[in-house]
Amino acid sequence: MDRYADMVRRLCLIHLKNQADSEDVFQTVFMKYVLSSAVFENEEHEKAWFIRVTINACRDLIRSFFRSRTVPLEELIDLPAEESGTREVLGAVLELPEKYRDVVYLHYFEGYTALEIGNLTKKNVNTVYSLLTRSKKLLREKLGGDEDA
Amino acid sequence: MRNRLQKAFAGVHAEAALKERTLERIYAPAKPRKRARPLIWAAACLVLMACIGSGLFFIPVSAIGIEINPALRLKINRFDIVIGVEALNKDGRRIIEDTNLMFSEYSAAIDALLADSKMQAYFEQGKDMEIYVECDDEQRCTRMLERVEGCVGSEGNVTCHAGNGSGHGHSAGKQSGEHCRHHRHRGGSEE
Repeated sequence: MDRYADMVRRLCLIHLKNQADSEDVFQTVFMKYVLSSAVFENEEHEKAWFIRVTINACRDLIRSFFRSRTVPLEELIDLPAEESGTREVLGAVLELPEKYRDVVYLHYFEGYTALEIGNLTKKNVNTVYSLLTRSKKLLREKLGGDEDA
Repeated sequence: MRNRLQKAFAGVHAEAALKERTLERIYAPAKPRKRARPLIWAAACLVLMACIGSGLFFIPVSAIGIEINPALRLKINRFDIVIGVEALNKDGRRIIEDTNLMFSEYSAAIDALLADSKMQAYFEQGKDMEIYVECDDEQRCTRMLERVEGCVGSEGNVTCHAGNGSGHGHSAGKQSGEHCRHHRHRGGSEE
């Protein structure tokens, strides 16, 4: 669990705006993993499985009628007071339209290429490029600074 | 921007308590899921459907009158089932005392009546039988009349006719409307 717990938690964070829903999806993903009969060829394959299942579980919950209310970012994650920069960056990511958030996380934090993100999220690679370009522009407007430094 | 994003995401971790609760859930013995609420809804739906169904079942939508000397009236529901048998005279009461026609399909009820030995006695006396179908729905009326004529087959002097329930001496209820629209003699043409 330790290997993928943080990644699943981060994916939950960028999709779901309350603690209860995040916990629900977090537990669902690991429950599915335990019950799954999938055979993983390697660690990358296993990681891709976790990403796909988490994103799908989040989307299912978002569509669900029983989704809980949203809460402010401060209630969502327990960040130290001095981490105001972190909070600002996360806030900017969460303010992006939902379709950009996976792409931003997978590219900037997990280091996936546009082609790999396309395979993971079942999106056309050109669509991923467009999403990355637009999200960079939006983030730059909000956070300032240069592009990939 | 990349560095700021990486730093921001790196600050998010799955809390120890969350991992602990997840492990507890994974390794907890499986509990049977509570299905009380769906069951209650299913039962309520069944009761509602039964009420509606029985309500529809016991509403007569047509009637078949039979007169020879005994006079009878069968009330028929939308499913073509006899839901009421009414004797319109003393001889009619004698017939229905011995013959159970309730909840049978109307053509089967007519077959049973025609085969009844007491009814046969009237045929043997050379009496004419009149069968009339009462119904507000013309299509239903025509269909029922055809089936009734089929039941009559080669019985003695039987006249079958149909209408919307008005104008017949013994018909109870449905007294308004036009007179019989169909009037056929067995094997004859429409008048």
